[in-house]
Amino acid sequence: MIRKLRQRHHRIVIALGFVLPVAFILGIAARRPIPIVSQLPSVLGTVAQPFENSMWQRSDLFAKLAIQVRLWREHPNAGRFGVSFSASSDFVKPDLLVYWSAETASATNVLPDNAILLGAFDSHKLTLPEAAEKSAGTLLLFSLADNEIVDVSRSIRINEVAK
Amino acid sequence: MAVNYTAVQWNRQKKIYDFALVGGVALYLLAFGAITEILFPLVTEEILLMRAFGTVAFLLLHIILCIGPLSRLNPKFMPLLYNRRHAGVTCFLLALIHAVLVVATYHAGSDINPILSIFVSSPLTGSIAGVPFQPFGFFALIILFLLAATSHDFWLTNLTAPVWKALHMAVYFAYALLVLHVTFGTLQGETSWIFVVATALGFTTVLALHIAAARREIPPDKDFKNIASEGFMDACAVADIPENRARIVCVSGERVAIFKYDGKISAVSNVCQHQNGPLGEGKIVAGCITCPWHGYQYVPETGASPPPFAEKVPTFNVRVQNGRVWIDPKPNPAGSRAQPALIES
Repeated sequence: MIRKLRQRHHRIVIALGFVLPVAFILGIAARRPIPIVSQLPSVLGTVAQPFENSMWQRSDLFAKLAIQVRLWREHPNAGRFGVSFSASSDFVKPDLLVYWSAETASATNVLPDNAILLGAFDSHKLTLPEAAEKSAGTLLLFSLADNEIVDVSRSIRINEVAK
Repeated sequence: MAVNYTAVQWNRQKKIYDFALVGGVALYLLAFGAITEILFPLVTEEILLMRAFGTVAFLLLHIILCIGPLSRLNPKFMPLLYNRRHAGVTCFLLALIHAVLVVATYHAGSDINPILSIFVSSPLTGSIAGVPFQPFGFFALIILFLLAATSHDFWLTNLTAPVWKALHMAVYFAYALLVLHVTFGTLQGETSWIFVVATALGFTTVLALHIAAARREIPPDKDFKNIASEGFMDACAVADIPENRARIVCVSGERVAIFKYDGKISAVSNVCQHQNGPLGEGKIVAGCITCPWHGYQYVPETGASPPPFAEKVPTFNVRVQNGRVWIDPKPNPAGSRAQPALIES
């Protein structure tokens, strides 16, 4: 190699010697903590919730989608409430998230500010927030991929049903 | 050597190295697939393949970058240098497969152009951890493509060795982009420190070898300022030059190789016309100076390749007085005959 190129080669290596370690350390130091399933709060995890008592089962809550909703409670007359969902085998909405909202959602695709994430729409029982026991609310099915509300349930009053 | 540029010649040595190269890549891919299936049985085929091809390309680039300084530090690595271009093209092809798998899996399913999607799918968020990593990989692939496409001797001959070498130094820019691609990509989602340590070890090795090799290059590059006599400069003692080998000195801003052979001394430019290899680190074979990189040969007295080959390097006039070699710092035109100096008995 001619000397001019060799000197350029030296300068490139020296520059890389500074840039690469700095960028690498910055990148590693700035990593966000990665949640592990076993470290998640129980309500967000996939661990089965201790809901043993089925309160009711309804298939008329959602207008657009044929979904059956089941209300659960920890004990026959006490404890927290949960919901579970089931749909037919040809149900093709793989990415739905379930929210609870104390308000009746208007005809908008934007999640209300007070919407509470319950979890992913699957066969697991999802714990309802304490707010759901105090006032009426709705269940919202939100598609993360399409960034839109897919369906909103009729208004539910859990306490009245439970009593 | 070449009369003009020639097609890739698949001699026995190249076939052996290419077999080892392809075999090594295949073995790595198989081992990666088997280990991944055991440790992560839920992995999808797309993810497994894109990671296998991505890691093997990255690993191969490390090996390619280490070959240069290793050859400077130990001549035993020279045979790898001879085959490095094939490894470079293989590296590009592996990276291309990785890129095609990524684009087909993550960017081909929407209404946005898949290439455009690489740039808009991860917008800047202002956080370091959120730096979009895929554009780094895209630009690195473009550079690797340029290097692979111009790797043939056709481009070396037509661009000239200095331009070709300068162009191919872009591999360091591609490497830096790939380290960033890995740092801000897969390492952001990895919980295991093994991958972090492996990446750090990789670029530390590459840099350390380059710095070690560069330190050895500093003394020969210092300008030669020995006492001049009638325009000639005192270069070294005759006894300092091994038989059929050379001593390298820096004259007028460039290295010169002073060879001792058959009771004579001749000096030529240290820069091989083929790929600017260090002629002074070669030796006299069958009466010709032989470049250690690719075996290009030059007659010591004329600096010209033996017929029918056409390569030429500049020669330098030399004298031998009182056991010392004196050299005229002004080079003769490439291929010009310079009378060799006879060694005093």
